[in-house]
Amino acid sequence: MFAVIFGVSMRSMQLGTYDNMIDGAVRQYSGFIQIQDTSYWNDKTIDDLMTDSPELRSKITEIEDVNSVLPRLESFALISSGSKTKGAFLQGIDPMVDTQMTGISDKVVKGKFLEVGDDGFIIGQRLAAFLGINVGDTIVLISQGYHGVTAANIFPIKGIVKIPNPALDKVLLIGDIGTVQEFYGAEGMLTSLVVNIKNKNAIDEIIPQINEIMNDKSLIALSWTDMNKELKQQIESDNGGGIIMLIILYSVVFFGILGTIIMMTAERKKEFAVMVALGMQKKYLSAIVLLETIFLGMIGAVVGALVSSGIVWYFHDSPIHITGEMAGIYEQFGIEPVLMFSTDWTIIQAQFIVVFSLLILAVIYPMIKISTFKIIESMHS
Amino acid sequence: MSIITLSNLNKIYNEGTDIPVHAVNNVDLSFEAGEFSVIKGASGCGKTTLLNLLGGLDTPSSGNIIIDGVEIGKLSASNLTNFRMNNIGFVFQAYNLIPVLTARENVEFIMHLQHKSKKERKERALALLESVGLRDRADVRPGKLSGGQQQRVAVARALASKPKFILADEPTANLDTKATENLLDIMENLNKVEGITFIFASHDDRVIKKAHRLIELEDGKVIG
Repeated sequence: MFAVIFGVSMRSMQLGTYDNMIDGAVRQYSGFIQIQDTSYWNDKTIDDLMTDSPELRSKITEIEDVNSVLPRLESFALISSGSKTKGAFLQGIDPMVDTQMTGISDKVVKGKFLEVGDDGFIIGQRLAAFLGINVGDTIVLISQGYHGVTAANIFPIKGIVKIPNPALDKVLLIGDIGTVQEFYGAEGMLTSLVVNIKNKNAIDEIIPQINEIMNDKSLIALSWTDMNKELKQQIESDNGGGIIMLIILYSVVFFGILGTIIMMTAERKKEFAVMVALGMQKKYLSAIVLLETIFLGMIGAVVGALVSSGIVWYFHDSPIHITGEMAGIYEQFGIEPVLMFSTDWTIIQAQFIVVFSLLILAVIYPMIKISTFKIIESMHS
Repeated sequence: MSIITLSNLNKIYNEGTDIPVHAVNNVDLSFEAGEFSVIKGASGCGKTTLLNLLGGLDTPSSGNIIIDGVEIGKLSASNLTNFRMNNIGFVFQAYNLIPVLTARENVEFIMHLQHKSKKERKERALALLESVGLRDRADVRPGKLSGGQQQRVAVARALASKPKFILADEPTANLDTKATENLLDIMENLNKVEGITFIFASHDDRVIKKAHRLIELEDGKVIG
């Protein structure tokens, strides 16, 4: 029971936190698939843009498992207000379509979210705090525009958003794509098309279809793992540590179960011997012990699964917020300082199966003992 | 006619070592149906070993045991278990009732193994408990019964499978005088009225006094 509870809680927290990291870094920002100009990915300069094509967007949207295609124009700019200046990440979006994927409009904590054609910006809460600005204030943006054009203008702040990813929250400035294109002098140009997909596990099937539709060697479709190699490596490395911890937990659990079964067998040795002396076949006794152990194990595993489900659901709804120095460390790595719990039922299923398998493995011991014990010796034990 | 014949029976522990122990030494014996026999002798003389061999709970080093025409040494482990179930009743010194079962369930246990119907099991178990004076304690677990009562349940259990004979190893060793007399009266009555064959291993004078036949063992040998 406790093995399932510990296993599920540990794994759920780990995978939930990864999902949260991916969610923060991918779904709320880059998307799971992006289409870019091939040269943009290497240099990421405003000069390597792709032309927006409503026809291409429409065709990609028709692919099964694709929800929508979001135009983006992203670059950097200096943002200034009063005496404070900072490098900002400027993101031009289609407010109507983008928020369907990122849910960014729900994160507005002050003011209003953007409307199509809006000439103002919404700003990350931490960036706003750094600049000391509020809704209705103006900011100055200066940057290098498309093909050497100077980009500089004054914009009002329409709203403040709280972005879960702290690193992004410190630099993010979002505007309507038309306004951003005009600012950079890049009308009709994009840095990327973000493909909003229904199922993140279908990425490998969707990308070849996109490539076939594009049929253009100057464009490339990238998956989130291509675009976030560091995040992927970080998750894989941490996941490896988690799996080692699980193996240690399973080892402790296995020897715990085995110890209990050895003790139970030793305590009942005399009882088993009496049963066989009276006429019970050893194979039936083995079957009874096996069923009994499976039944007990099943009760423990089911109760464990139920209790852990409760724990997981509770912490999924009320995640653990990390505070103090540890929160600072998380933020340094651009991770929201929150321990999320995944409600993916396959975690419970996997832990249930593993613990149950360990039980079956451990039950081999009494099977061997029963098949080899001598009645007289066991009766006198 | 003999129902049990032992010929040239030996049981040697630590065989092949420097100090072999001859627990049963060239024993030739036979038992008739309806006997009330006691194997007596000092502690360590081989009574229990002989009874274990007789019951098929242990294997002899050499010699033959023929029960009702069947040489049990030639039976497979599985067939020997079935043979024990259908032909031999056991009463152990330490009662050896199954603690999680009630008195009636303990008596029914062998009948379960014999695939008797629920009705037959229940009726016979209650009748046997009646015969040992424990009808009213049928639904009580062994932990709540006295030593004498537990041993009477053990006798009822031994009779449940309708065995050809009952082996009782020091059945009175843990009982007080009153419980011993009560138990022996029940066994004697079963022997007289129902003709059940009893073979005891005991050095208890109260048991020996009841015996129709005494077999004396010394250092594994029959001396009388």
